Amino acid sequence: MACIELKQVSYRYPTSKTANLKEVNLTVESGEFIAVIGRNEAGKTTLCNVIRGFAPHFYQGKLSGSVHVNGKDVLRTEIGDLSWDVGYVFQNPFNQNSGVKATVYEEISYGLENLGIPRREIFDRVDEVINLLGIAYLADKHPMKLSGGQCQRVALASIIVMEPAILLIDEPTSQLDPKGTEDVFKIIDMLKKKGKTTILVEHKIDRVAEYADRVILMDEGRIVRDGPAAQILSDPALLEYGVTLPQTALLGLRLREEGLPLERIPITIDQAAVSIGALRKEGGGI
Amino acid sequence: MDLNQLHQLVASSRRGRFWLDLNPMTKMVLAFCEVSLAICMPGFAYGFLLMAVLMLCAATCGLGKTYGKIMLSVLVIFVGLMILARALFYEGGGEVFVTLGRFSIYKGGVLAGLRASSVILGFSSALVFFYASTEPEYLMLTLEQYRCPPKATFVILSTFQMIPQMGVNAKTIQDAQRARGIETEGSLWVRAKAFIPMLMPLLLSSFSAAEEKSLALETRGFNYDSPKTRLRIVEDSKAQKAARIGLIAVTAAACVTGGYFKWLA
Amino acid sequence: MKALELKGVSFTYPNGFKALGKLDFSIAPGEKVAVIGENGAGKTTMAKLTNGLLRPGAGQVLVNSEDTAGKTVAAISRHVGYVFQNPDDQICNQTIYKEITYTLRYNKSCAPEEIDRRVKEALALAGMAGMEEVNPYDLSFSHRKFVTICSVLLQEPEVVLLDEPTAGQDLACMRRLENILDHLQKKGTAVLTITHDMEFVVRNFQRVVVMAHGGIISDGTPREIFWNLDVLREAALHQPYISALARRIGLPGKVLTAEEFAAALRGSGRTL
Repeated sequence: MACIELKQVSYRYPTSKTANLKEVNLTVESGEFIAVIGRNEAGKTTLCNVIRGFAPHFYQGKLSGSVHVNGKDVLRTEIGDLSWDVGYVFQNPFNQNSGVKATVYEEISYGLENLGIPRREIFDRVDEVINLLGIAYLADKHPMKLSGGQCQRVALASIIVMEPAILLIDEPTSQLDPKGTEDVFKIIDMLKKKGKTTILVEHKIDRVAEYADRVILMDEGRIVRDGPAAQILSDPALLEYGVTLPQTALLGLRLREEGLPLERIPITIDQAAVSIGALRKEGGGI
Repeated sequence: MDLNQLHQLVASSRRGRFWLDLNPMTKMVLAFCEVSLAICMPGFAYGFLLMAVLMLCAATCGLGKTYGKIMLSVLVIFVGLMILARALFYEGGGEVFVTLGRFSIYKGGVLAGLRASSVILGFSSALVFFYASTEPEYLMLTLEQYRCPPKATFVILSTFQMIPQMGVNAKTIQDAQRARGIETEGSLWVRAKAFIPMLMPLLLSSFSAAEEKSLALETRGFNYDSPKTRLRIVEDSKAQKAARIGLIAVTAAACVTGGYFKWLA
Repeated sequence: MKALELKGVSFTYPNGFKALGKLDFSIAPGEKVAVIGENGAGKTTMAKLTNGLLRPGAGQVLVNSEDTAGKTVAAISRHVGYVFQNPDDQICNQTIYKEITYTLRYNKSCAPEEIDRRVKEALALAGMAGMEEVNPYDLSFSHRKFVTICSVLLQEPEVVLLDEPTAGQDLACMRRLENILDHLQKKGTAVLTITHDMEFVVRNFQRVVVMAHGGIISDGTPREIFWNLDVLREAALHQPYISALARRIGLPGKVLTAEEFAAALRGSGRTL
């Protein structure tokens, strides 16, 4: 059975004049790593809100269609119960602190405390996560005294430790510097290698190209493209939807226009180094 | 810090000093008793004595400076003013204590001032010592053990962290407003004018942050309906439980007795 | 005449951290400069020194050849417009109109007709034409960033400083931002931008300043900077993607853009 299943979902926030999601159909299998791209206000965050049940339980508003997540009917499940199934990491690193814990270690354990996990197990799980994410050196620091990148890593740890079936990560690096971005993507890489079902909303398209297997393009509340990353991210039509292509894809398209016989448009530097570099060595001209 | 040290840090409330390690409920009962006695004790020695005793206790657990600073302010401002006010505006006549120019300070007035000060000092010493020696988090955990709803303790605790944070935010906002041309340096009027542009972003961004924070809490299972586990255990003991009951009993008796004598006087 | 000059400026924070040591920097009217470097290199410190939020421990800060010492931040802000990273630290009004005209009305420094003209121009540039009565908090974070940019545009300062303007922006917003930078340059405003986006730098700037360890370690064209691997290493920065690829496959020349890459590929024996 699919991990996430949205059927003909339409949703409108109470303060919105038009529908924020229009007839969205989405099926996600367990273990998939999906990137959601699109211009600002295309509906990417709304999609995440629906999967997590914030829409309609928190925001109210009208939702039609069906939403099933990890076997549960989201519309009929208590918002609190969904904490077991869907984890959510937000854009603003500083607004994710609980505000009641004095050390990072306790901050990470907060979710498990709320779920009533036995004490011994909490210690084991938090120990494992801080080692896995390499943040043991932050464990005794005060959560309010961390940098943006550190906060975001703690937020990720706090959600990963709850072992939800699905992870929603909404533009985690948009307010971080390159080092913070790098640190966050190391964690995302680890999640991918572990086969966690992940939906990542990101503007940094070059990064998306490195990690996503499947890419969903949204525009005006609809899913307008849904397919393998290599295919979606090399399609010039993306520009019409207000999304830039990876630098290497733009280059690849440009070279192809000029006559270079590129078989596939590369979307990462590694791919480009291989395909363009190979052509250069071979001496393949026109 | 290795894992074991971390576990120790987060799992217990023990800090190695007597007053810091006392269960918050014990300290709360103690503070309550001290305050009750302040009201019921006759004479004026109680408040001053209590302040001195608590000062010593504070010093034994490294809180001397914190406690001392606050009590000094209370002493100078409230107590000083109280004695002065009572002494200057005493209507009872009687024996004169001292004459300052045209004003006569009567002994009765000074005594009245001292008695009122004793009450103020009794209250403030007790509460300040409680505040200084009790970690808000440990107090909240104790209240939860007495079946206070976790959402209530959350609200109180998060306020504690939020206030210094707002102070930091206020500075950032002040810088941003100065940088866009709002004058904050100069006369009182200029500074007063700048109050609104300082306050508004603080409030507005607090509201918009509140929504994000609620959602973030939601993802941490805040609304999940189940008994919560707590990593940290706040220590209590049979001895302390007995002491609490004993304290209340003794204080009740002392208050009745003292109150009787006060009423007689 | 330089629009902005820092002469021998150094700064140490109260906690003892020496953020800047004897810095010299200047920017002429109509010049666009990108400031890059990792966090902690001193970029924000330098930025705050330009408008008086921080005062130099030693050295001088000159705006339009006048020393800023002794002038209040608000007074300097008429000449140095600083666009902060977080718009929510500034927005204190309920409509965009009130917000962006706030300082002009607060200081009564501009005639109403002139204010209206500036408002229309700024909103058009920011892609928010006709949105004078909208509440900034009803809009997205990205829109609010443009609101604060408009506030600065309305002041018409000689120097505009933007702190990470591209964070969280999508393609359309990025293009609008680049338009605004061009517009400012044409008007003769000196533009200083702190950024981490190397591709943004390549597209928009002819001069790049690299900061590391509290000082400027390099000041040159994007080509000079992004192909100086020693400087990049010292500043803990990466090359832009296209340059990195060119280097990886051994293309000759110092490639920065796709056009140059294609040309270099053509030139190196491949007939395309």
